[in-house]
Amino acid sequence: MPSLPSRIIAIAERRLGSIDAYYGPVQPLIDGYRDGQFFAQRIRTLSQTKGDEITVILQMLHQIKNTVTVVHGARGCAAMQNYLESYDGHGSPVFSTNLTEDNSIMGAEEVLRKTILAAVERHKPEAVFVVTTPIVAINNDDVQTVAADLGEELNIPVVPIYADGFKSKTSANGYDIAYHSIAGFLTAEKRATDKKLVNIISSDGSEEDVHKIAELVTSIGLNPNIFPRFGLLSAIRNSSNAVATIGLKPDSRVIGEFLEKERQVPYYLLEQPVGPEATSRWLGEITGKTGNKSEALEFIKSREKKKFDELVADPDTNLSGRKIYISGDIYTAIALAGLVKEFGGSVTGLSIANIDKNSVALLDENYKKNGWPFNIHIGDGQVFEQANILSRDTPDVYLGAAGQAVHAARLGIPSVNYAPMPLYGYDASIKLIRAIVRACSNRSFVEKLGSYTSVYNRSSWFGKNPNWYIKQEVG
Amino acid sequence: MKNMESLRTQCALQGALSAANAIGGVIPVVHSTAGCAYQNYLAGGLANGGQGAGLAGGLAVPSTNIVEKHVVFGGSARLREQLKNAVKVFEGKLFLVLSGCTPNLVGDDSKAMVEEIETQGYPAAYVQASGFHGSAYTGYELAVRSLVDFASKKTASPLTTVKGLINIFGIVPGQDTFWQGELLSLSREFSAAGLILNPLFGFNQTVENWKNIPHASLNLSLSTWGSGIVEYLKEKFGTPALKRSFVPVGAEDTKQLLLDIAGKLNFDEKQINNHAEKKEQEADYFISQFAEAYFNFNFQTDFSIAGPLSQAVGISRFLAYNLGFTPKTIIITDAPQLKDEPIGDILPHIDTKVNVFFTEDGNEISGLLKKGNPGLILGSTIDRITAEEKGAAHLSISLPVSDRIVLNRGYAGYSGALNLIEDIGTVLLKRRTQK
Repeated sequence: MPSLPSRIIAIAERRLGSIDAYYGPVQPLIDGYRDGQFFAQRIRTLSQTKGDEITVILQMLHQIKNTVTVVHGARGCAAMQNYLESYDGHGSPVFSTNLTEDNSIMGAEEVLRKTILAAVERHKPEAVFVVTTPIVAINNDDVQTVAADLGEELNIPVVPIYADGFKSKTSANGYDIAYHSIAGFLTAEKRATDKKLVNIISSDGSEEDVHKIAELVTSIGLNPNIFPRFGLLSAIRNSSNAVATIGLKPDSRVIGEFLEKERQVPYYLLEQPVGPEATSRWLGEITGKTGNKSEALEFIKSREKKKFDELVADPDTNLSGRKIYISGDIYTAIALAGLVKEFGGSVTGLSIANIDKNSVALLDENYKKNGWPFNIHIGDGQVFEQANILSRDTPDVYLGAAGQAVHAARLGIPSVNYAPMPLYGYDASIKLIRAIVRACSNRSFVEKLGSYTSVYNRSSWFGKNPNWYIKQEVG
Repeated sequence: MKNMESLRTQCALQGALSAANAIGGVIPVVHSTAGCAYQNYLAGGLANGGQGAGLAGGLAVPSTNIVEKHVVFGGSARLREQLKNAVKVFEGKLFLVLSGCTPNLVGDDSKAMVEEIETQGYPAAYVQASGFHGSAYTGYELAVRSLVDFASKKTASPLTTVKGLINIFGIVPGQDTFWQGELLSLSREFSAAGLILNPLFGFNQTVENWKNIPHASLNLSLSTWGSGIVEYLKEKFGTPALKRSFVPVGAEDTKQLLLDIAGKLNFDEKQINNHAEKKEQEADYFISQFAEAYFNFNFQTDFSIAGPLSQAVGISRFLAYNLGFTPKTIIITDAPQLKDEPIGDILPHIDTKVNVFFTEDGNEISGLLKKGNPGLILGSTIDRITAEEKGAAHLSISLPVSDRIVLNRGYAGYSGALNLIEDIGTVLLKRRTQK
């Protein structure tokens, strides 16, 4: 039974002071979040599309084994399952209630009920997730009652995830919504602490990276309990018995803090293990936090240091003199910045999807540590702003997540999409380093792309400040 | 209940957006929540032969990304602000506003905002395309009507007609995987036969091409999704219409289509026949070569196909009537209303009764494809799993397509049929070597 006090969780803007629009020096951001204050909300008066809560949730749920997901909305709200199913493959089935105009007016609780029943009959899942969408938020379908009734009738958890699609500007709020429901419906009471069991929260990323994390944790004598992506529901149930929960990104915070508060499992959000230095640090922190000493760790560190020295001596895996622009969520971007530095390159700009009261310290620390002189750009996607920024101080390479790299390439800038690449661990990121070197050494394709017609009015837009359409919100 | 799991078709908003992205100089301005256009990019751009979505597509699509306050207080002002700024940043010949579920449910007056920016001298048009209005095919219809109305606003009266100019509809960008190739191939075939095709979407197509619509001698529809449009144009401009439910693949159906057009236009059939003769000679030459592999590796097989009607029928007819393949199961995934031609009249029947189903439910499709035990499955990339389970050869031809890149390749016309032969021959050979 749900043990959470409320059906929904407050949006990231109200809880954490999350913002997704800013361009300027980093210090005003640091000051804005000082003493428990929130940085004043910004809005865009011109914006481009981006992921939202629903897209974030669907990519996460798709890889939870033995479950089905029912998207309660118009068919387009589940359209990306075509992408997930055909590229990621072998994920959990996604159903759509495929709401019509009549449903939008008269409600569609019965449609939802029938769809859940059909999904369960077909796949006999261990749990059903019901993801709500804008139509349902507006017509006010009673999803909670349908889920509760069917949960009882079918004797499996039917987990409503209230993603209205318009509540928050921050797509990462989708993780919070999903984990709020997962915590309430799928975790179990604590039995006894297993001192070797470590929860690893996998909200996004590749299966290869998840396996790498499991391998790393196992190498120091601990047992990884990985969920939700690429994990089983039993891992979620067992999470209450772990000695610690390790988050790789802030998106793990809601489930991590729930386990800490309600199940007495300490939660640690650690910087990502990307590259040799960060990986050794990450392993060291885990052994420390869990109270497990590992004799193997020193041996691993020394072995990997030798390998690293050989790598940086090779010009194919050395970024010396390369100026690199990085775009992504804050933890990934900072981890990549560390990797770039470790391999001899320098960071010339950052675009971060969003920032909040919890993550601003990481930004502050890294700006100070690295003496970065450049402005910070906060924006999820918003490639028109990035194009403006990149037109001013062209980097040698642009590193971006899915969908973004091509837009930098269209400006004639060598670009690499790191999203499908393995990043975690001592040597996984070597593929990325090689890709960066390759992108720099053969620019023929991006030069061709850069010579094509642009969709932007360069003379008008590139002459303006990139923050031209970002305004402080009033009221 | 039908059509629930793994739906292959996007929503009306996303269909309208794919249409807008396929015309040079059109800047779509989505008035909806943030994820609507992004999901279109993933499903219709990347999972459709990796085509992407054009310069103003993907993450570049201007979108109002409305939030709760716009739901509560209305989002018209947000759209006004977005339009006012979009015209300054984007190079556009037309700003096409596409409004989705949320603004339409809360009653935003998007049309008024479009009229307002028009009065400021910027070309703009509007499509109300809520996701709940239907599938992407409906969105295509809605977008086309809006574009027609926009492009014909300043058409001089009386209308002048260009002899042999034909507008083509019903091949749907972003949904029909080979839409670009089909339009290019048909344009070439029509041109060689002395006709001028106005493809409206794809390479070199801009709003200027849409302005030629009223001057055409004929409006041609090659799927049920163009059927309503050609009727609309008949009413609006008095242009004759020719409606067919499938895209022609290979010599027979292509020649027949050209002859039907010639009949409608009182066009000289001799020119059509001369063209057809040359193209048939070329096709025969290559098909004769194909016979070597066909008989050395025993290519003759039965097949099942899943895809939109226009494509599934066009391909099935070619395979059945030209390559000696036997159709077992035909699954129509775009669930159209078959008003123009009874399904039985257009489907092939070769020594066996073909099973026809209308569904886009992924689970049902998988079950139906398995039942027939065909030697060849033509469908989406997802159906590859079914094919592997059953030991069948597999070719991705319909959404989602993520195991091949599709740019200007198509199966329509004379040359398209040779592409199809190459692709099918290749997968049949691969299956042989994998066994």
